[in-house]
Formats: sequence, C-alpha cells, structure tokens
Amino acid sequence: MNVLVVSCNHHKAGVQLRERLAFSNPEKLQQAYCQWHEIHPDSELVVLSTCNRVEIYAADERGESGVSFDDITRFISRFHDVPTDEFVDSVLAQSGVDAVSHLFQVACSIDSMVLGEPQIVNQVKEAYRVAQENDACGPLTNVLFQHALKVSAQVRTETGLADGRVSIASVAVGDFGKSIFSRFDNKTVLVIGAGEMAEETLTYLQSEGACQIVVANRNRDRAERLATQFRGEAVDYATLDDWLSKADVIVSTTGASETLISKARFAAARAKSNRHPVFILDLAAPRDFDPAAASVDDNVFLYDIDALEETCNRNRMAREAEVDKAMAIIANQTQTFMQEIYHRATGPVIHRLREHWHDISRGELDRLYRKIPTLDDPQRQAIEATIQRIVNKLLHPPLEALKDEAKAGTPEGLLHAIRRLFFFGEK
Amino acid sequence: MGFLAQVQIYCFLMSYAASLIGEVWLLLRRQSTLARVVIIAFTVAGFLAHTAYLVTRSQTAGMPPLLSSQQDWLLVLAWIGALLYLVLLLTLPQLAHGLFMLPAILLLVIVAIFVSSQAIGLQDPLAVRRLVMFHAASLVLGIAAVLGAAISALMYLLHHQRLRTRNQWLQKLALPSLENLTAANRWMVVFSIPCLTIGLVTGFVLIYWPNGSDAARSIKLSDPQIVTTVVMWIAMVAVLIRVLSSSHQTGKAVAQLSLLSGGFLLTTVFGLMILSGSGSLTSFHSGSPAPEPNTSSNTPTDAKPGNDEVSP
Repeated sequence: MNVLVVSCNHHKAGVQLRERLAFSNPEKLQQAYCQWHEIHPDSELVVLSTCNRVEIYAADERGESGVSFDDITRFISRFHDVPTDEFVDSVLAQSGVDAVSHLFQVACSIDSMVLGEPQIVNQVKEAYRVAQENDACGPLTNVLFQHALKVSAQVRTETGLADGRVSIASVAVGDFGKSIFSRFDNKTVLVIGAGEMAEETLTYLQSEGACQIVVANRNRDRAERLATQFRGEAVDYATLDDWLSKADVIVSTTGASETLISKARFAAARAKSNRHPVFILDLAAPRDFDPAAASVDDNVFLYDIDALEETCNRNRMAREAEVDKAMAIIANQTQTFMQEIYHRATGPVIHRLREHWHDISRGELDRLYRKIPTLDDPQRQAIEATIQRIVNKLLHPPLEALKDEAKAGTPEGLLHAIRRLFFFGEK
Repeated sequence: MGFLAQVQIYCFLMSYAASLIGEVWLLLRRQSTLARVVIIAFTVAGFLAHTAYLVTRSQTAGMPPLLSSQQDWLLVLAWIGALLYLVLLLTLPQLAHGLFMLPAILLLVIVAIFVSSQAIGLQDPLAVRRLVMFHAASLVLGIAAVLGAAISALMYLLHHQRLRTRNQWLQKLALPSLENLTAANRWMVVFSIPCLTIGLVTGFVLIYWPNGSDAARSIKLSDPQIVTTVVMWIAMVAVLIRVLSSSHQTGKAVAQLSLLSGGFLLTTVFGLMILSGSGSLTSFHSGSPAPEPNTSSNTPTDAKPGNDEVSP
C-alpha cells in the first residue's frame, strides 16, 4: 500500500514549465485519466492542476511493487510530449508519510504562494471530484482526500492562518475601501493609468459592486481596453481634473516619473466638489499623488503602496505566527492517517493468521474428543481454554512485531515473511 | 412571577459589565468564538433580567414603566440600548459596537440607581395619564436618539482617526464604515428633533390643559428639567440645521458637533436627574414637592438615591 506525489509547483518550477505541464481544461484532464487507466488499471490517481502547481497523486494497494515515480514522470512526459529530463529536476517526488503530509499542507494552503489563501481548498476539492467522476479514485485516494479536506477545515477553525488579507489590492479594497464606504455600486471609480495593479484593484472593486468606472490614460487605446474589460468608460485625459472632483474612488497607477497630482491641483479639484469622502489608492512608484494632498480636507483618504504594504506585511506576519500551530495539527493528522492506512494493510494478514491457528486448534480438539469420548463438559471447557491460551500466547509475538513495524510504515517484508511462514498459499 | 420579583438592578448591571469585559477581551486578543458566545449569553441574560425587572415594577406600580419614576425612565432608555446592542451583536458580530454601547447602557443603569424611584402622577385621570405616557415616551425616544447620535459620532471620530493616521492600537477596532456611521449619525439627529418636539409640546399641553392634573398645572416653566429639555431641543435643531444646510460640511465636523452637543446635553440632563434625585435640586419630574400648595396628587416622599419605592 503506497501513496506517491509528483509535484511541479511554484517553489521549484517557473511559470513556463508549469504551463507546459498543466492539465489546463477538463477535456485534457479526462484524457489524462483515460490514458492513466489504460497503462495502470490497478492504481488510483488524482491530478491537481492550478496556476501555481501541477501535482499528481497516485496510490497503489500493491505497495512498492505497484506504481512508481518513474511511471508517473514517464506518464507526464508522454502526455505533454515534454522530455523527462526537461522537468525531472524541477519536480518534487514524495511517497508515504511525506506525500500525505504534503497534500495536507497544500489543502491547508501552507504550501501556497499566498499563505492562508482560501482558493486552494476548493481546487483540491474540485480535483478530487473530477477524479471521482473519471473513476480514477479508489479506497486509498478516497480516504486520503477526504482526510485532507477535514484537516484543512480543522486548521482554518483552530488557527488564524486565514485571518486578514495579504495582497495589496485586496487590502486596499477590503480593509481600507470598505472601512470608508459601505457600498460601491453608487460610487464613481476613476482609474488613472492602465497598469496591472489597476486591473487587479478593479477586479476587487467590481466584485464589491463598483459599476461606474472611468479610465483616464495618456494612451487612449490602453484606456479603452481596460474600460471595455470592466464595462467602464474611457475618458479624455484632458478632463482628468473634472473627474478628480467627481470621483469617490481614485486608483492611480501611472508610470509617471514625477508627481502627477500636486496638492494645489487636487485642492482646486476638491473646491469644485461638495467635499464628499474620496478614497485614493496611489499604487504608482514613484507616487502619482503628492502626500500633502491628504491634508486638503478631512474627507480625503489617501493611501500609497507603502501604507498598503505595511498592512499586508502585518497580516502576513500574523498568519506566519500561526504556521507552527497548523503544522502541529498536520503532523498529528498525518500520523493518525498513516496508522489507519497501515492498519488497513496489516488487518487482513492478522485476521487470516488468527483464523488459521484457531482452525488448527479446533481440528486438534475434535480429534482429541473423538479419542476420549468420556470427557464431560467441564473437562472439555478446561481443555479448550488451555488451548486458546496457548494459541494466543504463540500469536502474540508475531502480531506485536507487526503492530510495531506498522507504526513506521507498511511492513511489507514482515507481511511477506508471515505469509510464507504460515502457508497462506502465497510465495 | 415570584422568581422574577427577586431580580435586582445589580443582576443586569453585572451581566452587562461581564459583556463589556468580553468585548474588551476580544479587542485585546484574537477573535474567539467562545468569547463571542459568552458575550451573547451574558447580554441575553442581562436583557431578560432587565425586562423582568421593568415588567415587575410596572405590574407592582399598576402603570407603564415610563409613568412610574425617573429611575424607570432611565432603565427604559438603557433597555432600548440593550435591545439595539443585542440586535447588532447577533447580526453584525464582527463589529465592536459593544465597546461603545455597553458603557452607555451601564452608565444609564448606574445613574438610575442614584435618581428618584418615586412614582409621579399616580392619581391623575386616565386621559391625562395617557398624555403623560405619550410625553414621556417621546422624550425617552428623543434622548435615546441624542445618545445614539453621540455614540455614532464618537465611533466616527475614532474610525476617522484610524483611517487617517493608521494608529496601531486603533487598527484592532472593527467598526462600521464611515458611510454607515455618517448615515446613522444624521438619522439619529433627524429622529431626535420630532421626538423632543412632541415631548416638549405635550409637556406644555399638560401644564396649560384646564382639565389636566393639579400637579401638572403647578409646574413652573423655570423647572430645571424643563429648561434643560428646551435647551436640548434648541441645540439639536441647531445641529440639524447645520447638518442639512451646509453642503461643504465634512463627516468629521458633523460628528464633532453631534458629539459635543449630545455629550454636553446628556451630561446636563443626567446630572440634573441625579441632583434632583438626591434632593439637592427641586424638580417636579423627580417627584420633589411642587412649590404650589395644591399638589396633593403628587405625594412627596423621601427621594434618597437608590431608594426603590416599589421593590421588585
């Protein structure tokens, strides 16, 4: 009985390699499960493919004689048509307790790029569901993935690993924006510039309901592109000052080398407004807004990248402080899981050994009773109890040895020896 | 009922104090579900005891709590606050409303211990008693709104400070958005005006109503509590005019104004209640002897602090 994982993740592999090895759509995944089943019909498989990781979990009841790392890497290589030596050094291969612990860490988002991010548990759940749909799961992977989801829920409940936001855009909107405004659907969002950060921030703002989006950029085409993406409106850059006075939320991400909005310029824009609260996110480096613009009036809330980063770091540190707690839970649960698995492996052998010895004793007792038919019931009971004790005492050492060995892993050698020694019919 | 009759002011005072300790614990430590459950349990227990106390007093006195005494007025005010807090605690558990509302509720209950518990207007005719009830209810709601405006203003100012200065300590405070606090503050100010106006008008009607009670007619317009309520009304109208008229008013300025006016007025009202309850000041509303000789309906008795006329 063995569990293996081959993982190509953001720790060891670049995005280009991850893209080449990704199972990027459901059709590809289905194809992969079909191919795997043709090659290894007796083993189980779950593929977890996200933007940060491609992981293949394989399990086999036959233990070491079953599926191996080479089988998995060969399968990846053949499926994606990527030579093995192009990725073998960038993947992580683990088996047994390490593979189980790895899956638990992934499901708890300890292995994620953003510690404590909530998406990964859904991705693990989805990967397991797709594997089930494709009949690729079996007794081992079922128990393993169900246990992983349980551990993830326990870690989220019992630790603060998922508390606080840790990305700039999510902190900006979730922590600061929502502290100022209760809703965004009636707010005008002005985006100055059309960079990646603006895009990410707009994604969060839109998820909070923002719908009146205007984009002002020197390059009108880029403004149009971003505005179209978020169902907004690209406006003439020359009208920027008018929009500065109208906007409730301003996201500035230009690549300007000097301050774009001076205090005086902003004060002039504010003078035309009714001094409504304005939430400004200056995500540019160097900054687009003069920091003194924050003092124009009490309803100006200006945050630059440093202020947001400070909150991100604080939240990240708070999460990191919870990693030890989470790891302790994972270690404990991994041990529990492995013992369950090993018990499953040794259980049938122990059962058969007991049955075998008790059958022998039963046969010998029957022979004895036929030879001495005068034995009365109390005498027969005394003899049976003695024989039972002898059998149990003789069984004790091999069973204890099996249990001891099972704590460290599936005792394949010992199981094999017991099968041979006690004539179970296997060689 | 026998069990309910044994509920004392201290029962719910202690429950609310325990809830406040729980809220402070949550502020200083990490969010804890257990602490949250303990807070809810203490608040519910306090609220039930509070309700039982008011019901028992009302039944014993044979009239609604608002008509009984100044002490009951304050306890009804605290009860409204506790109900509101309980609703917020159950619907928005992540926000630290309790850190602001519970001290106000505790203050009202503590002040209630020191004001007169003597019943007013026991023998008035039914029509007069109904008008008195309306008068008292309007004023209690008006004062509750002024108190709510002051609390939301304080929350606004702290939240504003937190967002502008990014003070480390204030970062731990989970408060509603500035937009919600501004709306709450404005609505409280707007709501307080008609309530206080109705309270004042019905009060004057009671004084000048020819068929009203003798006791009410004996009240002088210079009664300290009447003067304070009139001042409070004028101040709140002034705040409202300022809030509504100035389009360039920032939320911070409005909050400062409401906190200042609300805080000052509430201090004066409650201060006067305590002074008249201790006998240092003469006021009809505290059950003190009216200056005119024809106040037979308003039986004056001793008005020592904490002296419950009707033991619950």
